[in-house]
Amino acid sequence: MGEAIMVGMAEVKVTQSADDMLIALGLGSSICICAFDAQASIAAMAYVVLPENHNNETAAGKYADTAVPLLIEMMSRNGAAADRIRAAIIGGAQLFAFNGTGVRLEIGARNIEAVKAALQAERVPVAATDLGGSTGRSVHLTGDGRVRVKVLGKGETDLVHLGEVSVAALAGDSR
Amino acid sequence: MSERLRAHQTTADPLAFQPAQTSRLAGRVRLPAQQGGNSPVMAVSLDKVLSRIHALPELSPVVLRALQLTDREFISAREIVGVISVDARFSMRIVKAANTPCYTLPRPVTSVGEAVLLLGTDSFREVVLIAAARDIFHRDLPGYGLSGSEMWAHSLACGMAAQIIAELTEYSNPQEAFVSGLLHDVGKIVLNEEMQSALAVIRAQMARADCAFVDAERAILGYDHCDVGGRVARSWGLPQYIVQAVALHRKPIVSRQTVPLAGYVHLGEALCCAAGIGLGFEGLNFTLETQALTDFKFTEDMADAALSRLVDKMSASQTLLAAP
Repeated sequence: MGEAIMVGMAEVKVTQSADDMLIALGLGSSICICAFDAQASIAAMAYVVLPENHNNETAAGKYADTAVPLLIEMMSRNGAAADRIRAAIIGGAQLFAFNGTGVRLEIGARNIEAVKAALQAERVPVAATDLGGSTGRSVHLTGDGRVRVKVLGKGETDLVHLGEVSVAALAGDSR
Repeated sequence: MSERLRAHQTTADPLAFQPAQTSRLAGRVRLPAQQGGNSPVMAVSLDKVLSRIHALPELSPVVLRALQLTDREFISAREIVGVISVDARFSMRIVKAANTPCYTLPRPVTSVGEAVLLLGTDSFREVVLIAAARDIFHRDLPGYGLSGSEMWAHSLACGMAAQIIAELTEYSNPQEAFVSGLLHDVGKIVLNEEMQSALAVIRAQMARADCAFVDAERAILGYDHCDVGGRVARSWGLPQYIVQAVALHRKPIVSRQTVPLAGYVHLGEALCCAAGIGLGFEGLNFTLETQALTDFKFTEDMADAALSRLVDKMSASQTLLAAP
């Protein structure tokens, strides 16, 4: 029987058990990065809240630019190889509308850009995305690489099985 | 009340009821009136809804007295202990709240008296408010897609976020923002019953009119949770600044100016949406009044800093969020 592992804001967690399930609840503008090395059977999840760690904060998991290297380091420490990791990214929702002009709070859009850039910098291919919009999402990543996304009031969908993503399908794709 | 608040406070009655068809957003939202009718689709009399206010848990006399005492600049430990110790459950909740990591006490406290001495006036006042609000806000609201723990987390987080923004923008009394944020969604508790039967129609309205949740709520029911919440706050005898912040937190611009506390709660709730705290069916379906950002000189960098602090504070408040 696997374990349900809750991944909270700014956290990064790893599992080596195919029966475990990593869970991120209530994503707003934040982004959930699901990562999987099929050969080593290692799954990991990061719950990124903001794009850049300007002040070199110790909570590396909070920011896209420091969470992605941390995620890869934690997976590698458990036996994953960086070049085998495949990812799915979910979240980055935006407030529905902005009434007026001037400054906006577009945290979701900035998070999407920053997470994509950080994954690209580490050469981790993105196999699937569910980004933007103005709905909250919850994400389940099973220890065997299956990613399921739930939108409150709109049901659940299977986004991708990271264990079955062929390298050829992702060749040259570092979205 | 602070000078700055007085200076910006609107003189208009925040509870002066504006029917749906005259809403300021009526131009954006295709209201039922534009579909052939001239009134809300599922109008349930506001009086009938408001009669349910009395079913809400009353603020106990002990809590009310404690809040009055903590409203002073200096708190007499002996006096406050005398008032609170009458209610053992409330005392226990205060001790529990005081021991959460976000208050970084030198040692855990075991009594209300110790909490007053070690926390200091401002933090003690905050702890009393949190302990008092817990019973009211920790409840399932299926009409809004919120469990009790989600509703409570959203209320607490909105209080914290409003306070953080008030601090970052150098508002003179950030704790007023905390109280206002903590109580901002009390109207949802009263409207939950209507929402359960109206939800499908409200969702259809959002899709049809491409409007925010609160505008659909108002178009279909004829009022929204802000209108109702303001009335609850007034019926509890809360100060006018709280009544106003609760009633205006989704539309904080009055006469082209942001009403300060309503504005702090508005931006605080936007941050809670960004953090995904207590989204429910509404999700991020929230219209941000960018005038509030301009009026408070609240920049994108400040928003990032505020969100970062909110995440840290919420992480340090897990014991407040746990089931009783």
